[in-house]
Amino acid sequence: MELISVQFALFVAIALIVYYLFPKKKQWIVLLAASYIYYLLICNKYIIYMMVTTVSTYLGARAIDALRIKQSEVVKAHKQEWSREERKSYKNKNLSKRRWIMIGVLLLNFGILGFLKYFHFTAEIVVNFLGLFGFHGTAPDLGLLLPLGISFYTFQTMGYIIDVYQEKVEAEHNIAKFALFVSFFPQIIQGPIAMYDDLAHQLYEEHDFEYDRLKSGALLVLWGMFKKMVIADRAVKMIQLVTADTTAFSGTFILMAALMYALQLYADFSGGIDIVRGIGEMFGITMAENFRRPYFSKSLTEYWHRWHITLGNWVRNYVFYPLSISKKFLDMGKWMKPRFGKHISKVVPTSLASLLTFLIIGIWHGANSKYVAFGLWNGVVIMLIELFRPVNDRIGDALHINREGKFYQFIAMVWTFILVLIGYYFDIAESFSSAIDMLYRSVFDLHLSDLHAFDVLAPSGLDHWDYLVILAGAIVILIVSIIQERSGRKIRDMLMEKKLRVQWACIFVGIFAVIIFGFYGPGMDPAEFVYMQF
Amino acid sequence: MREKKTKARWKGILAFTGIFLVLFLVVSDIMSVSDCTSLANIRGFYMEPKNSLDVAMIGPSEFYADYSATQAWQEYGYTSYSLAVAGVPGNLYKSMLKEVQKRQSPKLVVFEVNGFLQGDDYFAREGQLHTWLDNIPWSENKIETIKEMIPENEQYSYFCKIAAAHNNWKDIGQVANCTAIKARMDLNGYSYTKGFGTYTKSCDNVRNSKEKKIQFTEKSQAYLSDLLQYCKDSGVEHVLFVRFPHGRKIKNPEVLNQVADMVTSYGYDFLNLNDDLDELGIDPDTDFYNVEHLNVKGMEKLTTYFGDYLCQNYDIKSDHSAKEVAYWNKCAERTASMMTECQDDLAQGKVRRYFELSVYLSRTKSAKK
Repeated sequence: MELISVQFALFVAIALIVYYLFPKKKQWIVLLAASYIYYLLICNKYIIYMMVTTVSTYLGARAIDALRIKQSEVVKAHKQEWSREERKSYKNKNLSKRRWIMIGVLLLNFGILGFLKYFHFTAEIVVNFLGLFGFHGTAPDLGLLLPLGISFYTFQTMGYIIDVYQEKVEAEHNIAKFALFVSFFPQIIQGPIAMYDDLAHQLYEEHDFEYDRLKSGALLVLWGMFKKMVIADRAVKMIQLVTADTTAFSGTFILMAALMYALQLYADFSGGIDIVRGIGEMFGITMAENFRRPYFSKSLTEYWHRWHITLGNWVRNYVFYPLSISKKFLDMGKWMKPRFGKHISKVVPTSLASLLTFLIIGIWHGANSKYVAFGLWNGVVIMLIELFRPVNDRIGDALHINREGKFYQFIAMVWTFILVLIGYYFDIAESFSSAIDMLYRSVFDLHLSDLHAFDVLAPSGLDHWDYLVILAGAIVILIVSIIQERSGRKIRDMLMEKKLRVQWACIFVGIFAVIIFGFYGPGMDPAEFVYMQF
Repeated sequence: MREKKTKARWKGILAFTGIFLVLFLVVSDIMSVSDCTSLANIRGFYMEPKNSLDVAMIGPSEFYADYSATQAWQEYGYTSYSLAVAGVPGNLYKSMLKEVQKRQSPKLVVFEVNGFLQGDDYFAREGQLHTWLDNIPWSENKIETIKEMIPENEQYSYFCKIAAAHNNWKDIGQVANCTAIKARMDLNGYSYTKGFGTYTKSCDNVRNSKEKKIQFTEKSQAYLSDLLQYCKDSGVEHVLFVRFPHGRKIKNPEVLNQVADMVTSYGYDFLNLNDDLDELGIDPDTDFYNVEHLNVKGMEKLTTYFGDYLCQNYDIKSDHSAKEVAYWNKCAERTASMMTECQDDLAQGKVRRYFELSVYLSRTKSAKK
């Protein structure tokens, strides 16, 4: 049951009807049932992995919570008799127990994810390494299959156990309710990765049927379908053709494929998230924003605050901040200060934490060296920018560059996009070496005259009309993004304020644009959502 | 107050859904593009008065190019209709016959055997399957045909034709043509030509054309046998299977004997006109528009011959009401005047396509004059 399919639309419609007809206090049960039915339908027996994650995390969180409660009770009971040291010692022991429980849950669940996702990758590295010493062999093929959405629900659930450990949230007592938090069906496949305190209470709350909210959600679904079906599914054909054999294409077409990928990836992923968030909205649940016009970013750091926001927040909250303020990193800063100065001592530990964070983001994307390179590229560039910021500032001041000026902002935007685009080469290339070759040829094998030989792209199955649709679709996205960026408002809200006939006209145009220009039907073979594979 | 608002909303939702459904059906119909002649033939068939046809001709383009129902009416006085779809595979013949039976009780049904002789891939021709199934009304027969003929994973595009047709926006000219045909025929309410279409040109390489090997595969035999059995079961008394003349000689003519044997074993008739060009008076140098189809000159000769053959061998003539006669005369006259234009173009070497829509265009021209 694909996210864009008649079956899924019917499934959502039935779930909505039952949801709003059900007694409000029990609405969450409908969501849980729908989520488990959906996951069973798409993943069959692999639901067991999700259940293991649910049960282990639930029990872990409950145990941590119980220890926390016990600690406060015991400390209260012995308030008079214990000395400060005794109290501290008890608290440390208690904390240590809680930490070990958390680590156990993290190890188990990241272990499952790591084993299923990275076993082959790791085994190949080990085999290659052993080969250097004359031990030749082949990596065992265990025929492991990755359950859909495992990265998303694992990250979301592990965020929860850390939050419970850090006493940011209380452990959920009802395992069925917790199971819903793990499995909420619209988001299970491709996120967004929700924080427990953002999502959980919404899932369990009572929701009245609200016509305007339903309409607003449906509009968001329509917008997502436009991005996915009209642009992304069409554009992917050209990218697949060029990246399947890059040696057959000049640098001009490789660059075109990379640019197309930037558009396709955004349309695909943000389109999918719009559909998910739109469905959530129909159920009265507001899910976290995952994209905020990322290509308008004026620095790579800003880009990562606008692109896949929920993953960025997760790694920031659970990897970057804990690392940056960890004793070792603070000690490193202290050690460096007298030797390399204030700036370096401040930037290096933070940058190293950032580098590790991006390494995790890269590895999260897939078990392949190219994804590692993708993560490292982003981490290293951000590190270098931070390291050389004083130099950059000095040059800017010397040249009297107005950093607030529109021209500077525009150049910064273009420059950031170029940096992002370079990162994408690692994404689309078959391997790391292929990415480097593609990058080299995109610069040194670039000839505008190649555009006359556009026919080489014909095997993709796209014709000039398709490229025109992609261009028109991209312009629509651009205009919508500019309006949103300037006004800070949702287009949907603006539309809702218009007269009914204007609203209907716009909605009909949208629906029929998807129906007519969508890339679907027999022989069209639409691509799966890119982020489904993660 | 709140109740009023809820009522208004429900009305709004219903109105929106209604408008959407209407728009969806209109857009689906407009985007559904077919070969123009076949489209006109199918649409026109459903416009014929019920139980008014003496002969039903079911088959591929040979029937609309090589035979004129209106000429046969003028010469022999029987009514017929060429329910012909370009390149239609034989596995659709049963479905076509069922559609005929729903509206007509012909005394004779004629099938062209071409649809069974082109190999197994021919039976899965998506374009032809869509041309037929997208243009016939919803019925049990249509659903059965889809379920029987179309692989399960593609059936949705026949139940919801926009799924396959939405991409036709790239061929906006053809979309416009088909829409014009549908609108013009709907406005007229009946077909003038009764399933006719041709090109005004003469093929000059008929004599030198390569011999063609035909195939009567196991699948073909199964489909033909199924059709024959259906004819028997549904009580169709007179059925003639015919091979119309072709410019290309058949490399393995014995295959047609196999077809004839199977047809006659069910008590039906078979007529092979493939190579009898001399007997039919057809000149290979002037009477074909391509190696598969006769042009208007060849068509006139074959219609005369074939009409005579049908009258000699079957009791197909019946008494038609004065209204029917007037209707057929009117159609025959209008088609004949189109044929005259057609002959003129052929003589002057102007290559044009003539089919149902040409009759209306021809009238526009004369009205302007």
